[in-house]
Amino acid sequence: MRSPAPAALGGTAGDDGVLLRTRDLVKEYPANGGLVRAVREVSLDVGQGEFIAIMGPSGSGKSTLLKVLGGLERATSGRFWLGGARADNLSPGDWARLRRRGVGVVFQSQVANLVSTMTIGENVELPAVIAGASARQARARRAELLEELGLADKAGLLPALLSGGQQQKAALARAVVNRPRLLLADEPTGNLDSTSTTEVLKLLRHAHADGQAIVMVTHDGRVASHADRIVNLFDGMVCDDAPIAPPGRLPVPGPSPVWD
Amino acid sequence: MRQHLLALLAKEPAHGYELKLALEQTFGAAYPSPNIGQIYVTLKRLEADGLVRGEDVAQDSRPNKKVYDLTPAGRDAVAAWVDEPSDGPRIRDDFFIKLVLAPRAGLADRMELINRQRRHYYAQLRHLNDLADDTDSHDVTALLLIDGQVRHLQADLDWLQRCQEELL
Repeated sequence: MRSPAPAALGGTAGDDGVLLRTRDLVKEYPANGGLVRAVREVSLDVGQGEFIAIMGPSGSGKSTLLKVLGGLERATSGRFWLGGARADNLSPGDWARLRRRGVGVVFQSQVANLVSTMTIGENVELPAVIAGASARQARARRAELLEELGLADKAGLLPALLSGGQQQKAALARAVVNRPRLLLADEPTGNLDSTSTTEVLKLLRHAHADGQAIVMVTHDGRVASHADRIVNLFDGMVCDDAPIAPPGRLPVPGPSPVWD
Repeated sequence: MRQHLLALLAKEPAHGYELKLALEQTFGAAYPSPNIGQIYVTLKRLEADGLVRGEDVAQDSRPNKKVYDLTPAGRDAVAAWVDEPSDGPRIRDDFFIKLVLAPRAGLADRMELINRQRRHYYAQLRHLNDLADDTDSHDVTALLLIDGQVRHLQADLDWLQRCQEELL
């Protein structure tokens, strides 16, 4: 399915395997008569299929960066590319199309992520149907996702009847139903109990194994440790960006040495 | 390890290799498994301290093996260990001392130290994720040990971030 707009709408990687590239991204907000620089000269490359965790203290610009990358906020300056095509200057209409197909987004407010008058099942299916899936395909995919997230018995309910955590998981299912080439997720496990966190992690790992790229904001080190690479922000800038070292050559972190 | 061996022997007499197996099978992959030499050395010391007593048992076609049992003093020692609360693992934090003293002496940059330490914690977390994946989901003891280490690392990461916010 090719769209007439930029190649990014297909969500393919650029020739060099880079799916998302940012250069000197800056986002400023007016505040108290001055400007707050929430994101400062962030330059990142996200490879096709790469799983990245963005971490940092609250106020370090993580969520703002993700909103810019998802087209929900416009960058003050700097550029970024999706699949080799400029994305920082897309129109809201282009972004809406992009988010239905190549880029899945799930942000912190579940309310904004679900249609309140549709059941959970319909909410999850909708993006698939819009993208051209058959009713049967959409239903099968929805069943698979809701099962994986422990929501199989909630498909017929309206979002308001679900707990915050359940809505959050349903929003994630909706974001990944079309297997977007890039998933942007802001605190996908925030406020979830440990069972739900495990379900969400499993879903993310499956998506990653399927070759989807994931950029996830989280403050939870355990959740982040499932990524390929961790980007740490501090005061809006990247203070560290490194892959997680391959396991196998590390001593187990013991609770203090047990040997005399 | 002394206390761990004493606690195993409080259940029943055993020889060195049985003790090694019991530790590994009970605690799983996240337990820093002792090698057999460390076990024998520790048992010898415990014997010298009068806490265990070894007895040679003849085996067909193999050298004698030594089966160890607790002495009354050993039983008292393990009871005392059971009765006292255990310290957490982070009473003295080597990294924090390094973080404070090394930059003062011009030996290192704080941000670099923090980043290196953080990467180390993530690599450890990744290792524990893999151990958890490879552990039978019914092996609750082994999984709880992994989970405990994961939670310590989560706390270490949070605290590292706090050090970064306060010191940089």
